Amino acid sequence: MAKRIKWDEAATAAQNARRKLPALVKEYFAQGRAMVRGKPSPAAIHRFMLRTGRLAYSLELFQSCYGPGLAHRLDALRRVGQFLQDLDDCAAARRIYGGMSGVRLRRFLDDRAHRKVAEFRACWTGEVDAKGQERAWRDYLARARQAR
Amino acid sequence: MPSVRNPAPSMRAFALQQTRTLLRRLAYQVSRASRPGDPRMVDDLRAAVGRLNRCLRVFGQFLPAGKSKKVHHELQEVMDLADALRDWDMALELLREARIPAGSNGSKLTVTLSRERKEAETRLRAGARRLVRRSFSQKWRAGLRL
Repeated sequence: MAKRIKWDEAATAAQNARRKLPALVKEYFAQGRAMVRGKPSPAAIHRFMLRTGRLAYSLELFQSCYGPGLAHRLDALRRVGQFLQDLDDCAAARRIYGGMSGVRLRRFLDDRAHRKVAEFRACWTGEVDAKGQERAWRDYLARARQAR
Repeated sequence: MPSVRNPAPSMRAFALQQTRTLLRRLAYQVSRASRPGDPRMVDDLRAAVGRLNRCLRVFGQFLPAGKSKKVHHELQEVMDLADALRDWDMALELLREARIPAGSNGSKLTVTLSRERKEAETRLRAGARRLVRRSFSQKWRAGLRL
């Protein structure tokens, strides 16, 4: 979500949401697919974790324009975000422990990171980006109604 | 179709309403962070800062640019303090999970991390108190014309 969104001041929040939010999701899915395809670096994981949080917060702003379906989708995003956070924590902990970490602690962090990568991939491919999900997200976001 | 009685708010009104709500929630979390003895405070504070930050960016078109930038800057300072505390908490938690035997590097590391954590908590509380003393939410509300 690098570009700033230009809202139409003459339109309502729901009309703006219908026009702009599906594109945010499209961009996010493309970034997520690139992440799960390769072997992401700690920096790439960190960036995608931040993007996941930003997307969730951006969509939350329009929660009053949607029904409970948005809450379910936000839950899925938060689960992805949590796996990424856990993964990012492994890298951050390594930096914090520095030279004070022994072999056992380093092995613990490596094992944990491997497990979290697998969990992230499973959540991404099996849930968030399961077949037809991107389309479903975009269709859903294109059906915003008047803010309550 | 919006009714005549209850017309849909303009995009500007909607954006300003969201910003007001998130600023009010942040003020509550900052006030919590300024007081001792609330271990769950840091996650809630980080979430409140993150949400308002995103809101200012997403709805920047409707907010005074100069003030918005200043608020971003101050939010980042709070976030840095909260992130530091969260990092020490996380490092201690992972160390506990790793179950490093007593007498090894683990105990030394625990002492070091606990000391750093305490200092980070003091810095965060002091930062939160400064904001509360300055009545930051009223000032930001006025500056952002909410």
